[in-house]
Amino acid sequence: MLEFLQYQFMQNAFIAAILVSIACGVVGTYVVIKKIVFISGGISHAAFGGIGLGYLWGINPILTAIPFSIISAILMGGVSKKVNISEDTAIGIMWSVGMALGIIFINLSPGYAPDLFSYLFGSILTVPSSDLVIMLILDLIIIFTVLAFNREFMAISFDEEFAQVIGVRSNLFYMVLLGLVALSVVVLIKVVGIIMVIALLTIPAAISKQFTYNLRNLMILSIGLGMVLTSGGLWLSYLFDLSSGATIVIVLGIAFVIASLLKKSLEQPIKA
Amino acid sequence: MAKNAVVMEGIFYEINGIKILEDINLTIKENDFLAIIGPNGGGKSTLLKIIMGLLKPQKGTVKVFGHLPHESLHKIGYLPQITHFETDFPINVFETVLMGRYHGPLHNYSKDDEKSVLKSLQNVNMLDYKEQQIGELSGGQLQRVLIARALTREPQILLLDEPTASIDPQMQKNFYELLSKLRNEMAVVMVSHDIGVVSSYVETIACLNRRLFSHGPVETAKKGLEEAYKCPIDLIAHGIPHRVLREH
Repeated sequence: MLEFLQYQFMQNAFIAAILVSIACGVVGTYVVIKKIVFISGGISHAAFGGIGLGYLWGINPILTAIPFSIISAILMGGVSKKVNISEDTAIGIMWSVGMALGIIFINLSPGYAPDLFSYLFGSILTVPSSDLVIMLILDLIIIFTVLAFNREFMAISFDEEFAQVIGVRSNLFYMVLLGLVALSVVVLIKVVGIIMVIALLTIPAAISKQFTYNLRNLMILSIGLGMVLTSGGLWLSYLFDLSSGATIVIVLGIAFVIASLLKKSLEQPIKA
Repeated sequence: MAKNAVVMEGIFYEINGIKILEDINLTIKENDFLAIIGPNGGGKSTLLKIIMGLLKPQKGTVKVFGHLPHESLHKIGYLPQITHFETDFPINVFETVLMGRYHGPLHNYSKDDEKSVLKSLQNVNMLDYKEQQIGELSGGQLQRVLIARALTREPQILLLDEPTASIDPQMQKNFYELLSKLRNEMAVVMVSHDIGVVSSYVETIACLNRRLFSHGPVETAKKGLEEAYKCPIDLIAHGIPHRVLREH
């Protein structure tokens, strides 16, 4: 049953699954509790502009996606504070403009863009070792940032107004948090693709949130669930020869439904 | 002679050309127990936010204990309206109050901070609930926790935004008793659109409806209220069967 693990690409795929689970467990927890799912979706789609830029300049698209998604995160979060438009609108604009830029950049690139689809829909089986190193570095940045600033992130997520009253620089830390979302988007792109990034950023944390009220446990549980479900999805996709990104997302979705039903049935006896 | 906690002079504040506050002059003493009354949209919450430096007025000056608002933040305790709270947020009572002890980036909470949190929870009679998730609390209990969060900063002025709006009448009595206790240690300022209950506890009332009307002791302020104040009169009469004013 485990014979598929002998392939290098399969080993890489499972390492990738572990690395994405760390990013989405930690950052996804904040995405869910601070309710910034929509802006995270915006950041992930805008990141496509960065992918396109990579093709245009002939460098690894993952590397160009990093600054591109960070800048779009800052623009989405910051523009609405400076200009008189709602954050919602800013997200909608950046979301589509970022994707359009990506397409134009690819149009302008010489030749073909053969693995373009892998960035859109994910391709965990073709993650090269060099990308794993980038993902690992981004994971470490995420972990250390959260270790350093978890008090601030907690404060702005729980009560932004009070956070300001106690002297937390709310806007700054909101931007830092969006920056972390941008980094995790980059970590996730190769695995599930831009279009399905948001599933990994929300579902593990959304499941865990039903079973714990402690933030640290929530993160740990989300990471664990992410590892099990992503690996499970990967294995199923191998078994049934299905697209890995989509299979992983479907597995996550089913797990969410099961967890919610489980939670309900656990609560019933107490009420009765 | 009591010192001034807050001095506001000639404050004007507008959003998108709509005047929210006009020519506000208000002095709050360090031992005041003040209620700022006014209709919804009258600028009450805005006034509190200006005192805390969260909003900057277009005109006028604000001094909090002789300094600019953001320099005096550590002396201000604040209770926000509790309606906007996510009750399923993954945080317990202790962690909520501990946030009040925030010292700035990269500073961990100390043993002293934890002691202060326990003391504040004791102060509001919520010590037994310290491990509870905040979603398991009633409105009145959550409010006490949030007051503890403000108290743990050891403030010299406590600002409360619509504190009675989300608690039931029985809890309100407890709540005012708590405030009567706290006011011996700090200035207490609450804003409310409900003058009924408020006026039998506080000492002074200011009426705010874009402008400030009749700031003074409850009994005299009540006269000014009916004459100068543009908010509906039923706000004062309110139709509830208890005394609005103290015996005098």
